[in-house]
Amino acid sequence: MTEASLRQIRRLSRWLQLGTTLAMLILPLVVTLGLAMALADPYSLSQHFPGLPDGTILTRATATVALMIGASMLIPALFALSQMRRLFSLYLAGEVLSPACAAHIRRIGLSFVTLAGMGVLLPTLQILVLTATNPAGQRALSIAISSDSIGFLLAGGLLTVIGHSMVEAARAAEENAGFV
Amino acid sequence: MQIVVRLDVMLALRKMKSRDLAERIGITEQNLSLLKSGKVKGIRFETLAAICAALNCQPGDLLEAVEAAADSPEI
Repeated sequence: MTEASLRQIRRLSRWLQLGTTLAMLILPLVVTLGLAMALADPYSLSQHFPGLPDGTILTRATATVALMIGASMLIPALFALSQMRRLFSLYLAGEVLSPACAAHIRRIGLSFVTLAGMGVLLPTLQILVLTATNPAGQRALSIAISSDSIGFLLAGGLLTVIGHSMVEAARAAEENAGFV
Repeated sequence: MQIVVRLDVMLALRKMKSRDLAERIGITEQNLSLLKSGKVKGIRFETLAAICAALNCQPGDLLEAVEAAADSPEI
């Protein structure tokens, strides 16, 4: 690797590390704020779940459970961000082709795949919870795949494959370093 | 059989310092030291050619195949 490309990787990584650090701090705050606002007015949830049957009574209890289910997406999201932050730290230190970098990339990919899966599963669970107190016949089951989920699935799959390829690249780089 | 690097012998014969050779062939002194001590996995043809040109010798003057039990630096 040339000095120029390593310099560029370091420069970009410095900004991206800062960005991921900020995202790790801001994201939980935004989610907490969103939860607080939704709990203050449970009927605002109906805007986010257009599939809810008319006459659904949104209680604070069902809204809390539904929101907590939705907020659990924060776990893989924060995990992905922490892995990105560690990856950019390694890049910043000049460690580009190493097994550690490959492992971080693979974990980011798996986090994205998890987010894609949760993006399909969690809204279904949330609607089930929100309509659980409805009379029989008015409970709803809604399964939807959004373009976001498809995007996360493709990006996650791609990163997982790149992570595996990077293991091979790291091995080749290590071998190459043994030659003068 | 193993390959032993005789670079130190050639440097002594040519009365050239490692630092000067490293500068002439464009590699670091650290890498040249590793090569002299045989602590490398291999040597690129490009590096070998540059060393041969700098020391006015043949690859055979720098590398020697010896029995595995030999107590010399090897590649």
